[in-house]
Amino acid sequence: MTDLRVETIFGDDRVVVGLTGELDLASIGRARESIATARLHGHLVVLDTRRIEFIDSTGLGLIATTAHELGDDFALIPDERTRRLLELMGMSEHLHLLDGTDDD
Amino acid sequence: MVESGGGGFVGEVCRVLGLASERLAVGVAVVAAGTEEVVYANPYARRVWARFAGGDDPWSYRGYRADGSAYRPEEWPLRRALRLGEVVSAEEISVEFSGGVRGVVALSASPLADRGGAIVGAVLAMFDLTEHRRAEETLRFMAQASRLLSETGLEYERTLEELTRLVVPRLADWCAIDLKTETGIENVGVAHVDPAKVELARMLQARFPPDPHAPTGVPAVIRTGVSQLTEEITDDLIDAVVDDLEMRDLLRELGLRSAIVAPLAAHGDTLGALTLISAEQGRRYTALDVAVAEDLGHRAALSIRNARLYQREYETNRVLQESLIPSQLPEVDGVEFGVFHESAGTGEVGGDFYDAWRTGKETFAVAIGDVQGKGAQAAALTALTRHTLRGASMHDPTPSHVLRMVNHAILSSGLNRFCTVVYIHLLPGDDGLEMTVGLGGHTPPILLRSGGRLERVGAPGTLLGLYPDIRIKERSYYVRPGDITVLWTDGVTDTPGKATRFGEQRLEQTIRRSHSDGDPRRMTETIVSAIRGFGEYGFTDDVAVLSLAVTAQAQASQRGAA
Repeated sequence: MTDLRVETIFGDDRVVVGLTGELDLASIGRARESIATARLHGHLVVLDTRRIEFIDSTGLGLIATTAHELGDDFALIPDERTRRLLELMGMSEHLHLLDGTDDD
Repeated sequence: MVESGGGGFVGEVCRVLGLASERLAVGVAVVAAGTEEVVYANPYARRVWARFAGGDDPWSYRGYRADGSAYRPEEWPLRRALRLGEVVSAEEISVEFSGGVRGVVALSASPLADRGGAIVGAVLAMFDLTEHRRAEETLRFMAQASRLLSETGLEYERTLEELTRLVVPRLADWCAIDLKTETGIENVGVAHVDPAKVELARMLQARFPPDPHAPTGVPAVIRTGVSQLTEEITDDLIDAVVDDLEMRDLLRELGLRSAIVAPLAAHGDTLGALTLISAEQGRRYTALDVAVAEDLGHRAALSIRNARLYQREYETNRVLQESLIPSQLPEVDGVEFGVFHESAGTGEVGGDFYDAWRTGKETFAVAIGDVQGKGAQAAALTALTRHTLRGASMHDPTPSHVLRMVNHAILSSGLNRFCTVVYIHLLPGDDGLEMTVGLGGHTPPILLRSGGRLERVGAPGTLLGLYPDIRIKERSYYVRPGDITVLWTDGVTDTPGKATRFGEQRLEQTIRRSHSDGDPRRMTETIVSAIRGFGEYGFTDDVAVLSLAVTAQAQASQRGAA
């Protein structure tokens, strides 16, 4: 199992939290902390999972609860697997999804 | 014993030694050759002899070397000095007297020769090392006891019994540990070097159970938390404390000499008592020994306390864990199940569950689910989900209705968690089962047809407990004997191997190649052994599998009924 690396970019109107590696029960705490830090910034929080190699139900749970708590202040740039799982869980239509190329 | 020798050379030595050694903190004695009569002994030597001379015959003793070998009579330092003229320097000897009294002495001996060179006697010097060696032994013992107690698991009574065996014979000839219970006092361990005496103690305990209000002994110590030291157990004392005549005789027979009862106390609470009794070894306990016993009692109490806290948590988890799966599956004619459920080895209650239940006279339902998180809150959500599934299906068993009810129940519970569920309603038909599937955010189950074709059943729907409006699509399938439907939780596909996870492709392959011949038990076993073989780290998550099939007998019984 590989580790999770977190890279946070503080922009003018958004904070992008980029995750690399595996997002599961073992690494969920670090991801949660990074998102909490990003929230303190008071802008749009964007979670970028494009470099994620594995995500389990704990990781999907983090996306669900963060989206629920932040509402319009949360967006996700998903990797293909996460996108498919979110569709399967009926969550896609409730999330603000970005493809990583657009500016808003 | 002659205090000072008469005349001659030996007498002269005695007079000189007597003047010099009267106040020495080492025993000095002069023994005459031939008769081996003690012609002089300074006060220290007399005290040492008096101490060991507990029995009727002070000279019936045995000596042992550190390696355990016994001294033959001619090997004692005094005899070697008298007979061989050898000078013996501080030989450490463990001495055991006939009464069972033990001690450690360092003996030196030097021959006394007259002008002609003939050995006429010997000077013996002795130093009593009993207390020194005992203190060292106590330190070693405490280290050992601490190690034993630190390894205390759920069965702490067994550790305490082991502790009594560790105490004997080093700190006591008898050792007992009693614990305070809700109804009284319970003995958890008695030890004595002689097993017959342990039996005797058990018999005494059974015939004379301790009176919790007794003014002395274990009950008093447990009540007050204050140690009791009885330096000398005399017959008069036994008569004063014990009313029962038979018990008095038994106690006298045991040759009890000295006793300590110390509380097992920690955090201001007395959980029991530790009893140390000296008998055969003739040891007389002092305040120092009480301190040792109290320390030991404190350590034991701490480990009991920890074990009990752990036990309570373990018990709570076990009960919660059992709430995740039904105590028994419904018996439906012609339908067979193969189920598996195991929690990740984290000690926490898991969040995966399965269930199967009747919804009507002929109809029934199965469900599998994964609740977000672990622990008591997750278990509460699992219970809520299972009960709502069952309750809602009694009124209207369609997946759309049942899953909506579960969604509503979780949202209004305030648990702030979600779950994913597969719910399948089943209606027996002429030659099989009509199966209606609803998915609440869960991965679609697999249906393996008897011909070997593999289908994913159900259409993606919204997970439950997060959004007020959810989308649930119902899909129906007809299954016949030989077809197997497999439901699982993500612990199966997420099982980590060396480089990758088990994944859905491997699961599909495993199911396709299972050779289960329509037997759902064999199917479930095949899947479980595949993930066990694949997993590098054991089960890192909860795992639940439910396989379901119609048997050939179903056809017969259905036709017979029709």
